[in-house]
Amino acid sequence: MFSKFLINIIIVLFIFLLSYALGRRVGKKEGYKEGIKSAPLILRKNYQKTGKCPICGQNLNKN
Amino acid sequence: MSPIIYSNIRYFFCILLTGFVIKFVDDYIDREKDYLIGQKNIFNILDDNILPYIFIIYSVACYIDRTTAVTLFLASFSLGMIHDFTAKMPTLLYGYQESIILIALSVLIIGIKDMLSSLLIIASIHLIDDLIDVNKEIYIKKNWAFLLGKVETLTLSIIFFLLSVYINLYKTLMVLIATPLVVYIINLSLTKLENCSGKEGIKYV
Repeated sequence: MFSKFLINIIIVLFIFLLSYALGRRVGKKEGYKEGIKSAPLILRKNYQKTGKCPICGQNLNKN
Repeated sequence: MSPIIYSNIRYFFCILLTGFVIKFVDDYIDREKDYLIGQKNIFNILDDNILPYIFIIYSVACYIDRTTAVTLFLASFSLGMIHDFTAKMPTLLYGYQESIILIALSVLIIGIKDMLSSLLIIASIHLIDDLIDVNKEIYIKKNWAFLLGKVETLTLSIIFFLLSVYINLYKTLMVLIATPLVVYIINLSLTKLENCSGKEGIKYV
């Protein structure tokens, strides 16, 4: 009885481990691609809002 | 004293002594790494003078229960103590080859059930230890929590522990009680030795 219960828990944990590990790795790759695509847009948006150069940090709208 | 209690205490002492031996040998192998990351290590305080005592402790453990002492030590050596699995060892073999040969030989000589239970419980403890040390060993990157991920390491450790319980409940429980005791006693003695000798634990001679 106890050993059967134990085996069931081990199988459930093993399935959880496989799906978690797979999901995390796939998610990391997707996130990286998304980040690369959205980084220029975010930099551009910040530049338009603040007027600060994203590369050298110089303020372009001093007046 | 009743014979059952006596045999239990004997068995527990065997595991406790083997735990001390494993911790000492692990410290001996890791003494340079521990110096680099600033972790306490008994060999950085007492130099190599305590090496003969390790053999004495291990002899007593083997006298009490040779199967348990030998399987636990071999399991921890083949899993945890080999630093780099792709580096050449003094036996002119690669780390992973040495590990595989050691495990295969011990399975052939001692038996698969005893060896497997020891391997699983030692792997479980090793993973938990890596999980605790992940922030300290961030520059070394030979840490399973760093390579696999924290949640994966924890889940794998629980799976190994449950498998070990399935194979040998008695041994697993004894190891579970002995492990924190070994760590506590060694940390306590390290602090006392530091105070007595005036040396810092991180100082490598």
